[in-house]
Amino acid sequence: MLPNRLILIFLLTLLPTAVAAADFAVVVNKENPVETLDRNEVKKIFLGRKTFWPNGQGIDVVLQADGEVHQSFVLEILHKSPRQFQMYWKLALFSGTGIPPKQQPDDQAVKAAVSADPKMIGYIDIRQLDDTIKKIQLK
Amino acid sequence: MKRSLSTFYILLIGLISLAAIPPCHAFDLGEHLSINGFLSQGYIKSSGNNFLGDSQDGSFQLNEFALTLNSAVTDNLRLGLQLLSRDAGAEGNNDVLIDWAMADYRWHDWLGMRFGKVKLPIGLYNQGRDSDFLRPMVFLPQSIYDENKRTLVVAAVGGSLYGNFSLGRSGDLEYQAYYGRVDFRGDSGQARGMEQLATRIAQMKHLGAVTDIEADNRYVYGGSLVYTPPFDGLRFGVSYFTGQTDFDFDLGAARGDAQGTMKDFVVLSMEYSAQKWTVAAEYTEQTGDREVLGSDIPDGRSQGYYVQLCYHLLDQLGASVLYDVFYADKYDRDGSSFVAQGQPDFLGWRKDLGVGLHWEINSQWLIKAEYHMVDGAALQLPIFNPEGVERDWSYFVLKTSFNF
Repeated sequence: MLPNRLILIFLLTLLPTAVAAADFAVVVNKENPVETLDRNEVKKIFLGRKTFWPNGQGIDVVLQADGEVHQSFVLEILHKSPRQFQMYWKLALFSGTGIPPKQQPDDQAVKAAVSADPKMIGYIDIRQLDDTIKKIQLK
Repeated sequence: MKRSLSTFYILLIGLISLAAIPPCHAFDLGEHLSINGFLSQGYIKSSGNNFLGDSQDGSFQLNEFALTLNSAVTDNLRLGLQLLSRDAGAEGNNDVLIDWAMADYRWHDWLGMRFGKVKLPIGLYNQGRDSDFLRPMVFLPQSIYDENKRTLVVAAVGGSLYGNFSLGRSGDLEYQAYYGRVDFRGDSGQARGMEQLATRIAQMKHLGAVTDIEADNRYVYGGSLVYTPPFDGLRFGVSYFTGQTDFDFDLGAARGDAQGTMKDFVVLSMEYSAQKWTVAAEYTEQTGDREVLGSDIPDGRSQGYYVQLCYHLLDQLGASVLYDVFYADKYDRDGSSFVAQGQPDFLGWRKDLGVGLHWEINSQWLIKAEYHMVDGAALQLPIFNPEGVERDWSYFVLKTSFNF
């Protein structure tokens, strides 16, 4: 009996670390004409590989501080752990190939930043959507 | 020496003062300027051979301190600078140098240009080689990221083109290409290696003692491609590098000269990252060719490869295993050409088996401990062991890093 329990415990340790799931929405400024984005495009935007909107303006990216929404977003869209995502941008920062996006502490701060900047994109808890920002449909 | 040390301490105190301001995050000075940096300090103890310096006695000469400034001037233009002070045994001496400094103009996603002093993309990890906290083990695998060759390959004053292309459902392709010149330091492993070789040739030709060596890099050029397939966590890379350096030195009453070329330095790379583990493997070949006091000294075509596995036992605790192999001449793996010159055959290879732990105390603090067992003394080991080298040796490293 005991060996079976030990095996079960061992197998459980092999499973991916459980993360608190939170439904998120990718949001932009209401003036931004973009309505939909491919998930891979969103991934490239947050990894700094796609840096211009279709109208030629630069994309300003805003992140959230580590929490449920951030964990769900980086896992589901970027397929990275928050630690891996952080290391990705530190590598760019200290090798001179990029500047990490700015970070806001919570949904309210992200909404305030996005509503004030027509070029900005961010993500928030889907329950915090309101008419100050626009939700992007993900394909 | 005194001047460089005082500059170093000023930088160190400045960094600590900045880091002491709560919260210990990057400093955003308004909309456009940010300040970041890192500090790391290590301890190395080896037995059998000295590695990089006097490591058999135990050495704290293993550190990096950096201050990074970035300014996004417009959507397209970024200005950046990183000052770096480092010590790696006999090299570095904590002089404060410009690690990279550039104007980066991004015209499209598929085309950007960087001018100034740019980091060189060799393998997957060369551009981040000075940031200890970016990698699981203290040293990058020496078969490819040889500390003694760092000066020539780390950064160049010149320019680079970069960008990325979407291959649709097939993934993405990133490229970088560069041309420039390297500020070659006299205390670098390559300059010291050349001095040792020139001394040997001068003795054979009954010339005077070699002193006052000066190095003048003529050019470096190369590029890299990184392919990211539509399979999460996987990427493949290929990079190319060639560089040539002239050396000039005193021979008592006369002057002597030499030339060193590192050419067709090719690295093939593969990395796979899952949430808890990462495996990386790279393969390299390069040709060394030196002409010293009129004598041609072909170093042959070297070969190296490694496999490194890093597994996160806990969120903050990772374990790594490395197997790293280097042959000075891929056509002479048993070192018979060294034996023909009256030297030990094991100068022809270096096989490093390393195990390590790294503990991420938080997102800014990191501690690493690792142990390596090495067979062979290739990669310039005689420089640090003038009394002779041993075939089997080992080294232990403890290092901590902080970044903000």
